[in-house]
Amino acid sequence: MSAGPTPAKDGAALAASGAGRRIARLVRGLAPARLLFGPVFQVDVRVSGRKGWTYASRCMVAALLLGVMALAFIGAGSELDRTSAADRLQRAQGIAPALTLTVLWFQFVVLAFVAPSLTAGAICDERNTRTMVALLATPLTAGQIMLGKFTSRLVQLLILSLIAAPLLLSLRVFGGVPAGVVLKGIGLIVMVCITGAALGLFFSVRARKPAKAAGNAMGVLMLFAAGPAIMIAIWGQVMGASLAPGRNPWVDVVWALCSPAVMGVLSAEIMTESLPVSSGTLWGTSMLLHGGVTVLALLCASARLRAVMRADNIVPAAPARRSRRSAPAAKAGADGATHVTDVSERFAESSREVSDRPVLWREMRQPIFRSRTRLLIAVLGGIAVAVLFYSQASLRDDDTHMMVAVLGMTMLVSKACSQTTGTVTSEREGRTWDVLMSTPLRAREILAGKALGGLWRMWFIPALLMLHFGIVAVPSGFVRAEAWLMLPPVLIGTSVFLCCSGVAFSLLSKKSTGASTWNFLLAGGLWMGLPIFLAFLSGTGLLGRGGDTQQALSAAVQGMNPVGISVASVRGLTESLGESSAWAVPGPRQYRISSWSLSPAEFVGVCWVFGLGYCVAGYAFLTFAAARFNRAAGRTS
Amino acid sequence: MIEIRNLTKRFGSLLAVDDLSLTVGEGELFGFIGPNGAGKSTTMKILACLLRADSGTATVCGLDVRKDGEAIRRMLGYMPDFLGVYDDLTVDEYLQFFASAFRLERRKRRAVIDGVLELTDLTVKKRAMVSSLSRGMQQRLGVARVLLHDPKVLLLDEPASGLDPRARIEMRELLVELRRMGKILMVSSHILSELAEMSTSIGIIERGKLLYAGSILDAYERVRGGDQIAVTLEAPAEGTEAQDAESAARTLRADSRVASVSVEGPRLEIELKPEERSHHFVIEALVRAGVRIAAFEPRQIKLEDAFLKLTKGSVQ
Repeated sequence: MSAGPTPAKDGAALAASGAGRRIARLVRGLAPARLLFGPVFQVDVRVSGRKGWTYASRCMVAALLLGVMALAFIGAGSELDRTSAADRLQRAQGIAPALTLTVLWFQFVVLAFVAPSLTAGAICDERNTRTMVALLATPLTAGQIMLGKFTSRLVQLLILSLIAAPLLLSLRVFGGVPAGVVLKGIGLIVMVCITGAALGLFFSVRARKPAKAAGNAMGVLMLFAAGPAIMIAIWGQVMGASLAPGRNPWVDVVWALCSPAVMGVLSAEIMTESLPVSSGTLWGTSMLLHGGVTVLALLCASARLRAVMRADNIVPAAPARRSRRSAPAAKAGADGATHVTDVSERFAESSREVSDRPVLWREMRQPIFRSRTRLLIAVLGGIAVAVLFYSQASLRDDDTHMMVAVLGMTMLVSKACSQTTGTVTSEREGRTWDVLMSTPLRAREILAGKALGGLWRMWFIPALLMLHFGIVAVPSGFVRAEAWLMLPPVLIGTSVFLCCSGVAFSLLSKKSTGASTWNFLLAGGLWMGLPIFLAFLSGTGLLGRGGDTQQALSAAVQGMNPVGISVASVRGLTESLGESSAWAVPGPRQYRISSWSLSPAEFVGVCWVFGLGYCVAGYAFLTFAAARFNRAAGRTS
Repeated sequence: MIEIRNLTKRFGSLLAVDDLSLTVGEGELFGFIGPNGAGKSTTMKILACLLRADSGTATVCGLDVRKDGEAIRRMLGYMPDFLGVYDDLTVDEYLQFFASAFRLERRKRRAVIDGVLELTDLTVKKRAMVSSLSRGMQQRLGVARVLLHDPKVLLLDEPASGLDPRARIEMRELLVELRRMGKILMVSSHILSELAEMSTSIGIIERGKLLYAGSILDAYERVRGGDQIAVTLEAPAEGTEAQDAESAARTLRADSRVASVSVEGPRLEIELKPEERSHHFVIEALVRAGVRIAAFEPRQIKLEDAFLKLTKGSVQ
């Protein structure tokens, strides 16, 4: 007679022991040392430690910080020169809070952009280098992989944020700035960075290119930063009431998500201004909300990574039903070897005729939106924003057009900076570059095809701007008809320049994030760095105060800045029109660049010189890239 | 004709190709053999004008790879070891793209594409997305791509890697067909048995140094020692004694034409003296000694043997 357990009991025991093992594994997996500082963390920290770029970026942040500090100090110093002794003493006491604010805001802006870039390549790069499968085949859970990637990048972020610590400490010691508020500011900056890093990681799982992931993460972070303020502004206008912080506790919760608003409140407190709201409550709520978004982003990223693992049968599929959206993912290899995207399915079974310029043909046919769903969301979102905007904003108001011009140009510059920076690097990452190089296509043909294709794909931003100014505002009589002559060269010149420089950087960089960084640095250096440098020179008095040289340089710097020239043209285009028709009302018809006044014809000329100048500069970039092509691409002749 | 003279390429301190010289003649299928990291792909990339050699010369159909890159690209088809594909195109569009890149006249493209699709047996996949093809089909698409401009020279880096047995056989048949069409092929592979079947000549490379270049038969001759024969003695019938393998071995050792004999159970491993080419005397001697033979298997020398003997098995 058998004395052993019955099969049913065996099964129950096995199930119990299996559940026990799973729980034990889960508990082991949740141990902080394993979860946060596991092998993924250790490898990534070591790898980043070997890269020169890690140290270069730290040096760059430090140099920028010192530059900004020098500017702020010189600015304050020049004020001191002009005042009496009593005033000087009073001004000197004000320097410390101003410098503290400069440092805090600098850290806030720079690190908010750096954080998503640091994590955006975490999963994309693994996929592109085909190491993802090996990583997914280890016993590491999706959460462990994600948190390992996350914490390793946080180390970099922490080091970058600590660069300013000595400065802030000295300001605390010598300037008497309240330590609590400074710490709150630092805490908020770190938390916003952590949120940005988590969003970068989330999009890294979804996107195929790091630049795309970084862009998406920055976009969402900016949405968090600007969205609540816009929402509250519209809400306030609809309700006809002011909804500034401190008036309604529920509205304050929405404000708390808007990190620049919270930083603004903290800045006011540093400047010892009276506040209608408790900065502590707002700060605490903001920290909690950002923490929540971070956790949510990490959870979603882990879940998404797990879906990729399931699609590759690396972990068994959950018995739950598969969603329709997971179907394409199931066909996608984790190593990126084969991807059947929505786009692929869209064009299957219908071949198109390739033109005699194959590179340009292919680039022009790259979809702007990778799926119909995204296209639909974008169109519906755009319509909703347009309806809200045109129902709430007054076309008679100069500020409305100014806002459209500034936002539109900023969007154009941001898009153009990253539009073509992945064109060559993605060919290298996809291992199609060698094949393309073995064809008789010439350097200029390949590079121009890439640049023009990228330019073509960003038609919608200039189109939207021209739709507003040319189609809506000019015929309605709120903007002068010269807009048709002034804005196109500015829009086209800026786009051509950045698309061409993007291709050149893409050829010279190994990764698309590197190429995007260089292109953003080029744009930032030209259009932000130069004005800052000029202000620095003016502050030191090297250019003479208000002299001709200073005025000419200021005009040149504003004239070569796409946002600056757009602002100048919109100011001129709307000036003195007010509520009357543009066609009948005589106005001063003067356009101002810095302190120079120009007639409409002269300003149109400036706009065309601007456009042509940047087109020539773009062409120069392409020529330079074509000259370096063989060496950078590996071709011998 | 491909001609390489004293080609050297370094990557930092790593010597990838070391003073390599070889010639591949018209209508040849040259099998390029070597361990991983031996320098095969580097040599092919130099020939495809995708890498600049540090020293030495290389010519393809009389054109210098340093100076005549554009002309060489027009007459050469290069397929890298890993075929990256544009996953947003159909097979037809993919081939059209490269047909356009190789400046094929628009009116001729359709016929050329149909032709290469038929040759590579991909006609049914013409409208399929490239990304939806299996690995084997993608490799065949790679071959179709390099054939578009009817190149005289084909450089195929591991064309059979990752393919299943059926796809490998199909790939081999395709390459033999291309050789018959009069093209010069340089094919690198790790599957030596397949290279042995289709190559007219081979090159064995290790640590960037060419150890051998010539016909396969010459390679065999070079590594050949004495012929080896395996003789299996018949199993004893029921009620009879087992045959004495050791006494059979002694009989053979007494013959001056035999170099060595080893015994493994009922099996004799015989190695003849290098100059000895006839095997019949072994059978005669064993029969005379009363040995009943179940199997007599002269060992054929294989490309693997040549490869193992010529290389030291070290990688960089």
